Amino acid sequence: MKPGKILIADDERAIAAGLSAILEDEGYSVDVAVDGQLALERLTSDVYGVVLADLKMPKVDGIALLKEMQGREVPTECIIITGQATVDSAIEAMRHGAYDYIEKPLTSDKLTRLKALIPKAVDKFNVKQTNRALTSQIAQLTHYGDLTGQSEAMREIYQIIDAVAPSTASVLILGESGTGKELVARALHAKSDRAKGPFFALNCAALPKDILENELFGHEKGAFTGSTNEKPGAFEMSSGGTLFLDEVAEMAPDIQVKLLRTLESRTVRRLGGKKEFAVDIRIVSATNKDLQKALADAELREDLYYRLAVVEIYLPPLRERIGDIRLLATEFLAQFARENNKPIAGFDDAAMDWVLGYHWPGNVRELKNALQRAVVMAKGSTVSVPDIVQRHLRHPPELSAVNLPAGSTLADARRQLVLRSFASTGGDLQRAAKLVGMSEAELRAELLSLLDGNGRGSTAHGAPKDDDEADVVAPRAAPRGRAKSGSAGAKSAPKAKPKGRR
Amino acid sequence: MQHLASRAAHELKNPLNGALLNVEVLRGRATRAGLAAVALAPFADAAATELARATELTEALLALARPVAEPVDLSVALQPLFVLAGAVARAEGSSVELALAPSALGRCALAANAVRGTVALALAGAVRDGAVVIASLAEQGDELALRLNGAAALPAGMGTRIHEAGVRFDEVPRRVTLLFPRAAAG
Repeated sequence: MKPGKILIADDERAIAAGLSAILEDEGYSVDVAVDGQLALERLTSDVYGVVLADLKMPKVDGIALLKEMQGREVPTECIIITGQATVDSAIEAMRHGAYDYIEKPLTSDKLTRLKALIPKAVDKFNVKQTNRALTSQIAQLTHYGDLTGQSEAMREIYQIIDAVAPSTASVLILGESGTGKELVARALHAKSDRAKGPFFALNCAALPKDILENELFGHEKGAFTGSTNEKPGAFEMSSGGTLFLDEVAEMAPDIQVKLLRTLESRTVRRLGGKKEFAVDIRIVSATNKDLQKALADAELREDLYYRLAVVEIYLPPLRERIGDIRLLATEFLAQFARENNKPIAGFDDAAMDWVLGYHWPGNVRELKNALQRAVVMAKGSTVSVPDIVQRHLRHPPELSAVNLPAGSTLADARRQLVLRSFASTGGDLQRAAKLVGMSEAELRAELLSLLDGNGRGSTAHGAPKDDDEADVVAPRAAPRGRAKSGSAGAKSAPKAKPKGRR
Repeated sequence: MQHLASRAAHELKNPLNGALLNVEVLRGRATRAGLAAVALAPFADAAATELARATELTEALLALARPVAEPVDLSVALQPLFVLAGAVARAEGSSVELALAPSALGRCALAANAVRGTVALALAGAVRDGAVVIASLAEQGDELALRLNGAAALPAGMGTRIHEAGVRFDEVPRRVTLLFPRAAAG
């Protein structure tokens, strides 16, 4: 049997049967649909390499079929066969993506032409399928739900989500503001058995204490002045699904007690109420606070912490996954260019160097906002440094921190400091030398030695140029996302401060 | 009527195509060793049926080109027109056919071309959007009635054009009637 299944869409049964027999004799597997509607149903339920469609058909004609195929992104190639051949109809068919167009009746020479066209159309379909599969594989390597990242740290997080999502374990997500903690919470919900249930997100820092308590637990009618109706709280509303408590460490101590009680008893009592409601919830919480400090200062109850942090997921800041910056920047640029209808193809070299060298204290959120602005400001077909940098003049890249995990060697520290300083000045040898307290000659020699030692070259500006090179300036053993049970130690290692670099 | 004939000529390609393809199957399989003749029969039948369809359409086209004796026998004059209209309607997802007329039907006073032109016009309006139309002929007083049962509503302005051709016209939901003047006896 030849590869590439064929669908014949023709209401003329004698034509469909004859053509089907001829193509089967050629070694193809063939199905027949006697009108355009049935052809569409077949095309969406099965995979065909080629559809041979009559132009005039009941219900859905050949052109409408082509349009539907385009709209539904059916990859099948379509050859139109018609007795109504006109230049206009041929142009319209080709405009809507027809592979070719043949006029009836299929005399011997036209049949020979059709037999020659089919394998070419099948080849084109196969190439498209292969491209689709590759694109999908690439997407799986770089994306996970709404999360984007291909760094080792992010891939570890994807694995943790895969492992943890099906369980009922409470998850505490740690990470700086803007790292995507809510996206992780949503991914946990989407991958869980509770995905069909509600996902309810509540920011504990955004609401005054009384309102937060009311939002969490709800209230009965008359519970307080002005409460004219009963109101279910977040626990009740998210029952059967996932409750995401963002900035959980900001919660007032007495609410923490009530929260702990609810988590232990799996029941909730509304404000002013006597009755207890059973709730079936999975709690995912998040904080950007230093948890060890929050526990030591009694800002977060230790017993609540152990309840919330059955599994911890640490989201590294963007500066610790420099390999993802290019990917994120490119995707945000494409997204905002599309939304703003601007023909922006990418970044110029200096702009990309700046994006890769900047320390992004606001993380992915800051990067996203900066690129939204850059797209709006850009006048040409590429984004340049002034389009992005204007907003960040108060935070020049040379102030970016160098992160060193505990256990790093002095050689690691020296290497990172030199490379990061050089990258953060955009490859300005003189400025970089001044920053690290070396002469230009010493710095040049040091850089050459470091780069030669890694077998890597430098860009025209000397700044990191691609993801691999970017990893040179990233901490080798940067804190990664991890799944721990009952540990408060998932915070980043102490950061090297910009001062005292030597 | 010219438009109908042109569309029908295109429709001729369908049975010809069906016949050609089934003959091609016969030609390809006839020499294959071990294949029973009975396995070929359906393709031979299909080719024959398609050729008969093509023949019917060809004859209808030829009949329209032949002169018609006056006064006009409506069932004879309209038969080829309905063959062609049937082929076109089927391609567009509708259908139309002319039921057998009573044998004693009188003749029409209008010229054959005027009758056919008017009926072709009415069919273009009445046989569309999936309509299934059965046409019948009957005497109605001094007139001959062609009833298009199951007809779609005629487009605006078409009634005026039918009137202008000297044919009376009546429309109720799902039925259009054309009333032709009967020729004087003898």
